[in-house]
Amino acid sequence: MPLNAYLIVGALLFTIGAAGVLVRRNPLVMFMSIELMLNAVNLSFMAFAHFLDSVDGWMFVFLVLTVAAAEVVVGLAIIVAIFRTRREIDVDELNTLKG
Amino acid sequence: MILASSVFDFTPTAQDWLRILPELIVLGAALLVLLADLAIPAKGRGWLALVGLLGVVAAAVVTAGMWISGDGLTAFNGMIASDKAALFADLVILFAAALGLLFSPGYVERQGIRQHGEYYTLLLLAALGMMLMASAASLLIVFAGLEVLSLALYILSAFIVARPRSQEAGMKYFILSSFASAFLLYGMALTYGATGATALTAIHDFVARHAAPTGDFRPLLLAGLGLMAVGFCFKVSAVPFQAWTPDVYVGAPTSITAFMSVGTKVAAFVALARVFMVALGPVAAAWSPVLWAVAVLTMIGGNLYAVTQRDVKRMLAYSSVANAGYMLVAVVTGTQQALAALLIYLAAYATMNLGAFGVVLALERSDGLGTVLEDFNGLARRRRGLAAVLAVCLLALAGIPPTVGFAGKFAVFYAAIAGGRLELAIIGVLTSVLGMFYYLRVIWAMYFVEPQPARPAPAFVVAPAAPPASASAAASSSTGGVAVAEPRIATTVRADPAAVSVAETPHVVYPGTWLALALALIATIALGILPGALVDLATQAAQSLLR
Repeated sequence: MPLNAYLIVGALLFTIGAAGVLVRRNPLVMFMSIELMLNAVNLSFMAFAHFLDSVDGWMFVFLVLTVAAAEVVVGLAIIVAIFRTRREIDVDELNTLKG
Repeated sequence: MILASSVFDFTPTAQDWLRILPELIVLGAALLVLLADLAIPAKGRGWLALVGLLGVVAAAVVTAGMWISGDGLTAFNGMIASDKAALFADLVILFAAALGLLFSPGYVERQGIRQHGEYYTLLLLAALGMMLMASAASLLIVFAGLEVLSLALYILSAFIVARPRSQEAGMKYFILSSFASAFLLYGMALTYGATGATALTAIHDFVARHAAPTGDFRPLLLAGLGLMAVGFCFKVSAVPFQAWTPDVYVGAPTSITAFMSVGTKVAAFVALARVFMVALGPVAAAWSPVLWAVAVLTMIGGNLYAVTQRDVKRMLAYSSVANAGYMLVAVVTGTQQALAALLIYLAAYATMNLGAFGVVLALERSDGLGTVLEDFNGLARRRRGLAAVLAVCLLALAGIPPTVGFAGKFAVFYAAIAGGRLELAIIGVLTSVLGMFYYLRVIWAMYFVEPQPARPAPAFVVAPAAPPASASAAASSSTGGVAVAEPRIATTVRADPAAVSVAETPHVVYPGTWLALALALIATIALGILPGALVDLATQAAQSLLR
C-alpha cells in the first residue's frame, strides 16, 4: 500500500477523535476520543518510519503508548474522584469555575 | 524492511550522565521524599518540603557549576541538550520549584491536604518534566518532558480531592491538555514525515537545505508546523487557546498555581524557541505570520479579559495569558537578541508572578476563598508586609521601573523594534498600558479603600442554578437574604463550604512563606535595579542556542 493510504486513514481517525472530544459531553467518551487521536498519530508515525526506513518513528510510538497508559491511570482517577462527590460526570455540570 | 542497525550501537558514557545531573538530582530528591514519607511520623510531614528543597538547591548548585565548566554538548546521542539556554531555563524552573516548596507547608496544612509525600514528590517530578522539556534536543524529549510535567500537574491540580473546584480544575486541565498534546504530537509526526528526522539539529539541516532556499514548503511540513503551533499555543495559554488557564489556575491549590504558572511557561517557551526559532528558523516565513496573529490576539485578549475580573487569582491567571503574548512577540521576532529578551522576560515573570501568587496564597482562607478584590480593601492596614510585597510585584507586572518587570518588557520591545517588528512593539506597549489598570486597581484597593466590615463573599463561588446568590443580591440583602440562598448552594456544591463569607480569624503566615516572599521581592527589585547580570546571562544563553 502507498504511504498516502496510511496517512489518510490516520488523518480520518484523528479527525474523528477530535470531533469526539468537541461533541461528546461524557468525560469517559471524550477520553476515549483522545486515545483515538493518539492512535491516529501512532499510525502516522509507523507509516513514516516504515517508508523513511528510520527508527525514530518506532521510538516515538513506544513513548506514546506508554504515555497513553499513564494518562489512563490519572484520567480515570480524576473521573472517579469527581463521581464520588457528585454522582454524575457530565462535563456541562463542571461549571463552578467561570468568568 | 531493514532498519538501520547502526543506530543501536550507541552506549551512554559517564559524560552523558553528567550532562543531565541536575535532572537526576531532582529525580533522586523526588524518590527520596516518597521514601521519607513512609519513615517520618504524620506530625512531621512538613519536613518533607525541606528534603525536596535541599534537592532543588543541590540541583541549582550543580546547574551553576555546569554553566561555568560544563561542555554544553548534548547527552544520549543528541537527545538532551546541556547548553546554556537549557541551564538558564533549569535555574529559573528550580527557583520556581524552590519557592513552590517554601510556599507549600503552611498552605497544604491550612487546606487540609494530608498526602504530603505524594504532593511534594509530584511537585518535584513536575519540575523534572519542565527541566527535561526545556533541555530537549529532539522532538521525542519535548514530548516526554511535556508529558512528565503534565501528568504530575493534572494530579496536583485536583489534589484537594474533596473540593469541587479543585476536581474541576484537574478534570479540565486533563482533558484540554491531553487534547492539545494530541495536536502537538500529530504535528510532530507530520514534521517527522516531512523532514525524516526527530532530532532538532537534523530538522534544522533538512529545512535549511531543502525547504528554505526554494521557498517551496511541502503541505506535509506546513501541516506539521501548524499543528505543532496549535499544541504549543495551548500549552503556553495563548489566545484563542487560553480557555483552560483561568479555571485551572483558580481551582488548583494556589501553591501549585504559583509554581506551574511560572514553570510550565518557562519549559514551554524554551521548547517553543528550540523548535520554532532555532530548528525551524530557516522557514520562519512559513510560521511567523501565524504566531504574529496569535501574539497580537493574546496581548489584546489577555489584557481585556483581565480587566473584567473581580477575583485577584483569576485576574493573575489572565495576566499570565497577557504575558504569554509579550513572550510570543520575542518568538516571532526570531533574532538572537529576541531570544535573549525572551529568557530575560521568563526570569522576570518568574520572580514577580511567584511573589504575587505567594501573597494571594498567604491571604487565602481554609475554604479556598477570600481572594476577590473586595477582600484586598484596606489590606495595607491589616497586613502591612503582605500588602507591600504584593504592591511591588504588581508594579513589576505592570512594567514600572525600577522593577524587573520593566527590564523584561524593555528587553522584549527593544528586541522587537531592532528586529523589524515595530508594530508588535507598539501593540505591546499599548496593551501594557491597559494592563496597568487592573494591576494598579488592586494596589488602590489595598492602600486607599476602606475595608467594608462583614461584607458577604462575592458571586464567584456561587453554584450554578442559584441566581438568588448573585453578587448584587448578596451585597444588598441582609444576612436573611443570604441565608435563604445558602441551602440551595449547599445542595449543588456539596463539599464546598457555604458561599457566604464566614468571618475567619486572620491566620498566621508561615515562616517558609515569608522567606519565599522575601526571595521573590529581593529578586524583583534587585534584578530591576541591576539588570546587567541577568541580561549578560540571558545573552550567553541565547548565543549558545541561536547563532
